[in-house]
Amino acid sequence: MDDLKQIFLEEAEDLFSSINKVLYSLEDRDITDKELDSLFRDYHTLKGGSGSVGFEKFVKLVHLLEHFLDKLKNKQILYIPSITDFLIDITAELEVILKEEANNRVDDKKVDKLITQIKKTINNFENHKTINIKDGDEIVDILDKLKLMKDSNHLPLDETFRLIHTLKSGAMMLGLHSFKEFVSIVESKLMSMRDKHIDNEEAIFEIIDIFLSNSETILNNELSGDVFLNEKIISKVSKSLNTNEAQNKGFVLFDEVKDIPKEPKKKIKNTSYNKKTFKDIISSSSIRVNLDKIETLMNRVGDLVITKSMLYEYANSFDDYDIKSSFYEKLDILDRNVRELQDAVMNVRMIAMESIYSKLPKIIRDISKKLNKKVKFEHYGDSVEIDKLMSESLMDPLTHILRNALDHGIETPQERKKLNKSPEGKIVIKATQESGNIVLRIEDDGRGIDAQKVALKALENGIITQEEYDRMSNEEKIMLIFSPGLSTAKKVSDISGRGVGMDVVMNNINSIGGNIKVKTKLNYGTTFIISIPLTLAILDGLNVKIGDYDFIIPLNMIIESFQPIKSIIKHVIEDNNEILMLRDEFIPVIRLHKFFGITPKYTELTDGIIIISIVGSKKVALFIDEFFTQSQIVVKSLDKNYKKVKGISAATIRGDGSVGLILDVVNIVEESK
Amino acid sequence: MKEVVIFSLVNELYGVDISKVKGIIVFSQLKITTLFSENPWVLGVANIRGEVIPIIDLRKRFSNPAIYNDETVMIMVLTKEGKLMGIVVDFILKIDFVDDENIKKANVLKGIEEKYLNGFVKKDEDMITLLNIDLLLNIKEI
Repeated sequence: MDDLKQIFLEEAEDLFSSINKVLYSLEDRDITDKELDSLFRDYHTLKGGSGSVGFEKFVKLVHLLEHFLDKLKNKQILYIPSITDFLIDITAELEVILKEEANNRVDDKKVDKLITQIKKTINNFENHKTINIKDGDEIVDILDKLKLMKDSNHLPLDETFRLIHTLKSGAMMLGLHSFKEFVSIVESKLMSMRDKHIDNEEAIFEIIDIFLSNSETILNNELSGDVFLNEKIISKVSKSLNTNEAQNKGFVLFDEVKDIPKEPKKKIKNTSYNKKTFKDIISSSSIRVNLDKIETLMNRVGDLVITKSMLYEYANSFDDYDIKSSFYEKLDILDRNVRELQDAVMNVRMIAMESIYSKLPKIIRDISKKLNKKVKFEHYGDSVEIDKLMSESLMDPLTHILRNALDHGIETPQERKKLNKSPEGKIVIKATQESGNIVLRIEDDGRGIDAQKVALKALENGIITQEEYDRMSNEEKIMLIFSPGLSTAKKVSDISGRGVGMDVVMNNINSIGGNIKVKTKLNYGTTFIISIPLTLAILDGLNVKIGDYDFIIPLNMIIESFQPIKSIIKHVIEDNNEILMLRDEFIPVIRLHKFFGITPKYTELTDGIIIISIVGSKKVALFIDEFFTQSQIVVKSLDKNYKKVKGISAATIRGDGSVGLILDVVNIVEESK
Repeated sequence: MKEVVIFSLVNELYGVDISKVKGIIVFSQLKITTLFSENPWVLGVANIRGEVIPIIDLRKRFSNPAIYNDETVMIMVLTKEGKLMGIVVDFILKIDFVDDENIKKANVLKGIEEKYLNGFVKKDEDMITLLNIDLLLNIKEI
């Protein structure tokens, strides 16, 4: 695919997410003019861009929507909530079509069908307003009544105010925006009179007179789509009403208001939106950079980190103490600079959580519709930044947890009512940055997880033994939801419940160096807490030694390390497994020398070092000979030139130029089972 | 006509297409970190210009004894899978041109399966076995 197309596709992705962001924020409230403008601009830019790179089918479709939005903007079509649903669905279709067309796999029939469908729906929306007005008997009734009252010269302030107020709500209900605006000016005028206790029949008479003589024009303009004409009338009426207040004069401007020359529509159209040109895009303060380029930059920084550790090693070889310490001093400055550089480069690759959040409402909406559940979605920490690569691995687990929350967590509206909960469920996602980690909290206010039920199911499926069951704490029981092949759902739905999800979620999160915790309270809801490191490219590790071999354990995998005393070491008789009893916890020991087949320096646990790590919810004790310093390491994948190696997650280059191996604790625990 | 790097492996001469060869490094300069592989011919990984690459001893691969001395070299090759790997051989003889029409079909020989060979070629008085590096270093095999 040529570059221009690629650039457009990337831009289109942004535009789609901007469109969706607006659409999903609407829910049941009315759309603002600003939002309409933004939607129109986005569709317009999509049309322009796709046209210039030759996506013909896509252009046709977007054109229809652009045109539709234009009519909405000019109030030729009145906004009703179902328009949002229509736009959401069609925009999703558009995304698919664009992808298909980019891969030359577009189905003409499908596009034609879609075009007819869009045209038909738009037509329906267009007709909607006429139906509306026929139903708008109330408006006509009130107008008649006001007229009658005016003619009979009987306009008590309270009653007039009440009628105008009813008129306003009626206009709002029917989506007559411009008329509503007009009415509310009159309403506020009357209100101020009422507040000041000015029951001046004459003044009221004049106001109502003006109101009645303009209301028909305004209604007609609105219904024929010439809303822009109303703006002038309304502003002049409003002005004259206020002038009247100040000078206590008649409405001299009234007659001028009446004949506003009809301006050519075209002219207004041209000025009604800001055209987004290529020039704008070029001159904007951000640029698009291919991820590969950033990757290269990151690698160069990585090399710098390695060179730095070489220098530290070299400094260590000096015998002269003075030279050594002054060299170290300067190295420390270099170290700081390199870390800052690394942060800055990392920062380039960071994207705001917003870009993840913007994809979620659609997922939630689709699922909750399918399940007939009502859910409100809230998200916080939109500006928290996350590594773009991490965000990709995060999307799947996040979707999965949301699905589960919707399917198993949130109850049906009926059930919720019985429990005295609001019929609308709530899902909240919060993102925060906490000491080198991104922490995501996904909360629902559903039925919570029944630890007992989960544990019984696990016992039934043979995932745990009776003995384990008896010993397990409530928290450990809840963590069983992450075991493979466990689902407590009463029936399997196409959304979730096959029991193949949560273990995949845990694996995915573990594979990017993260962890999940669950907090739950029956009938109050569940919170999943996902914690992932800011980056995987460079991490802090602890250098350890087993026999003659050196390894690195990522620092974020280590909870504590110590030399065990004899009294805490227990043996399981049957299989001669060792277990540590540490503060009431039983932690299985994995002897790393056995795992790798190395002759160790120490064979007695009490001679070596135990490192406590946590995988999923389970702690493990890794037995090593000794440990040394911590260091910053650059992660180099082993699969790039070789393949995945048992017990090793990746490699790094040490200060002396040799390759260091990073232990894959998750894999070691799995292989040791 | 192709250019071939000719090297010796336990008294036999082998050749690899030069377009596959990305560098030649004296074995004694390498710092190899073991990967605890069950395959004895996977010696481990080494850092070559910032890349972590696996080192495969072809002599052990063909179940022959391996002697490491000053002449032992590692030839860095790029496989079809886009992976950089090092193969350890006894010594490099020369880099020479080979006529395509002189390449004869391979027979099963010296414990090397036919599929790993691209053929034989006679150069001066020597018989050179041309290796199919892509298959030999196929990731499933090592």
